[in-house]
Amino acid sequence: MKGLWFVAKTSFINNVKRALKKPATYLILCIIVLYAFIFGGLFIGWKETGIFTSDKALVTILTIWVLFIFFSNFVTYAKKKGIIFRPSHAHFIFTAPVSPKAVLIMGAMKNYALGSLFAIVFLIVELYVFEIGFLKAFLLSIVVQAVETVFEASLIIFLYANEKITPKMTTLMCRAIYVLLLGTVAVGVFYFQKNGVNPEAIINFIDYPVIQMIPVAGWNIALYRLIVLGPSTLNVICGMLYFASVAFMLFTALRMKCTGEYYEDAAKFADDYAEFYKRSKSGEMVFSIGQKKKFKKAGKVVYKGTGAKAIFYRQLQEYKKERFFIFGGMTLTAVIVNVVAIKFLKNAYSAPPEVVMLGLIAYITFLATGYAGKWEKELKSHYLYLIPDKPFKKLWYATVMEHVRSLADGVILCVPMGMFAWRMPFLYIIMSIIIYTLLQANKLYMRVLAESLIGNTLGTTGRQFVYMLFQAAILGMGIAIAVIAGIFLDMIWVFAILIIYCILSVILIMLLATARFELMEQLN
Amino acid sequence: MLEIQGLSKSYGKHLAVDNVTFMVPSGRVGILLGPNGAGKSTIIKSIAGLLRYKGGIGIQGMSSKTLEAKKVFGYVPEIPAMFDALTVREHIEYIRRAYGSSITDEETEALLERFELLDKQDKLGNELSKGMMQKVSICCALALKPQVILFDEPMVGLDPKAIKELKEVVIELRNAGTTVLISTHMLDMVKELWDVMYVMEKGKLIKVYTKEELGEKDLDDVFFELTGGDE
Repeated sequence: MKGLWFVAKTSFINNVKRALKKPATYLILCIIVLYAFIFGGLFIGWKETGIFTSDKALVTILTIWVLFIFFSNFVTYAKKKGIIFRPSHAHFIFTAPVSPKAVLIMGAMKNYALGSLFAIVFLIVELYVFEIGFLKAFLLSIVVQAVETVFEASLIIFLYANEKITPKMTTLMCRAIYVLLLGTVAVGVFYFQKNGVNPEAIINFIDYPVIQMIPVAGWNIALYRLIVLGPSTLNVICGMLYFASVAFMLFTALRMKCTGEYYEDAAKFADDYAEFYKRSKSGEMVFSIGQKKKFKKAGKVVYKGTGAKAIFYRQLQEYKKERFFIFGGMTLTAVIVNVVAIKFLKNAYSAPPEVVMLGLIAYITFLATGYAGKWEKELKSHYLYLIPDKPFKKLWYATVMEHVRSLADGVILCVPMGMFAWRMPFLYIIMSIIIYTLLQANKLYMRVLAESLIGNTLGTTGRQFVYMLFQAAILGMGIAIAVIAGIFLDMIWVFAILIIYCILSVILIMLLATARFELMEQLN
Repeated sequence: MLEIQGLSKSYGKHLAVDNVTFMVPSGRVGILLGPNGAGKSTIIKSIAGLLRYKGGIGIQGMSSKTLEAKKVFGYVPEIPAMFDALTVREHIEYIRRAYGSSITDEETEALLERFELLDKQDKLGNELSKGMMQKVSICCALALKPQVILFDEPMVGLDPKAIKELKEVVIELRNAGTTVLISTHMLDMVKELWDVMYVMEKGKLIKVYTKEELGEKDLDDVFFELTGGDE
């Protein structure tokens, strides 16, 4: 244990020292303070409305919270993915003479810290919004939280360290949890369909005695009810059962024999998580950890040309092996925006539909600022720099496929919306598609330029922030030009001026970004 | 002494190691050879306690899973992974505390000096190059003063000076009665070090040679004869 404490303490101190030297830390702190103010304001507003501030409302919130946390924790711990280990753990800790149970307890420190943070937020809400009094709030957020932490630690040991649970049994347990959750959701849907979704109906649903009878999670809820609402036969019995179950789990965890067989799964997860972390940090959208991407079989691509053109044909070959070819996250966003626009925005705005359409395009482009496309991997490949061709050609051929993708997404975004939501003239729809494609191109080259200019001086977060500022400036100028043009000229001129503005800015940023392709100095 | 008894390991339906038994006596250097996919890494990881397996592994007569066995066992993995926020010196300090090692500050400095890490001792784990990480990994394994030590491709990424030092370290360990097992493809690097050779192919141990048995025969020739040259 001495070694583990040393690693935890020293890493914490060194991380704080290092963070204090980074400008990005202060930026994040400002954002946290901003969020604290926003949430503070929300809590004040909530209290002032007086809606959903009764004791029963508090019990309802706690019930939903416990059900969500309990089952999600159970599933992730059962799959041995709930504790984040790093490859350094596999190298230095799993092989060290340290009890495998102690490794688990220390590994889950971040989870307990997160739980404690939520407990503090709950304590504030309980005292300020629900006004339940200090004693009750203290019992709920401190005492029960401490007992829950003991249960969680015991559960972690039970699920990770139990060398009698086979992978098959784990799968069965997880499936049983999913069935239970689906069952609860199904009952909920049926109930709310019958009674409507309103605060009273939610409270009445949570009041069903059967919820308190759900083993462990329900008993935990019963304890909350006992503290907030006062004793009843059911909550006293179930509350006692909760304490008994915690004691039983603690006893079982202490007694259980563990030789560290879970290290195999933990080491695998550590590698997968390291890969996930690396990809996420570089701006990729990664939705699953440890699942290898599957590719389709694809026919041969004929390379028509040499030099930088090879980059395009290689990308084409890769996309042909993708499950959805060139369609991705932005395509899905375009479909969702269309559904929302056709169903809800049709008559919702007093502004001309062309303006709404352009606004949506700008908004989507800005929201997707941080989204790194497949092509960005090119920048990390040294082959790109070694190909004997001009930097401009490399930049063009490395990104041309992205322009094709943007064009396809633009068609999917603008055609249905323009035709069915607002019956816009076809010329405007085509011009909207061109503007969308140009804005995406702008975004793409701006990213290259930002990386080239800032490098690693501000860290990933800082770089992302500056890049968003650049992007906002470009979009902002475009919107300003469009507004001025809209005041003095016809809509057709607004579109035309925007297209010219986008073309000019794309060319300018593209030329500036070309420098990035001359050197691989900034290669991560 | 390192004993492997009937070790088997499967990944799903694939049998990676099939009932392997061998023993490296105390004060001897064993080398584990075999083409890619022969099962060497699986054996190494099983000994290090990073895999579930069937069979038994003994370190100095104790089950490798016991804390007592782990206390005297050093491990240098193929790909080192440092604690991001710990300096080189703090890595050694961690080893001292976790293993209850008797290594003194003077010995630590001498070890760091030997592997040219003294001027890098305040660098954090994530600031090190691959070669430096490998050196730190070796220093950490030596800092616990092991009785059994396992090296998985230890020379990859090391500079010539570090390779020379490592070879000397291995000889010193052997002379001090430590059991050494090295898994490697770099046969040239270990030809003056080894005492026993274990050759694996397709998950099975196909041949065990002692240096005396092999005589003047070249290590490469023997390896290619046994495995068909598929290194």
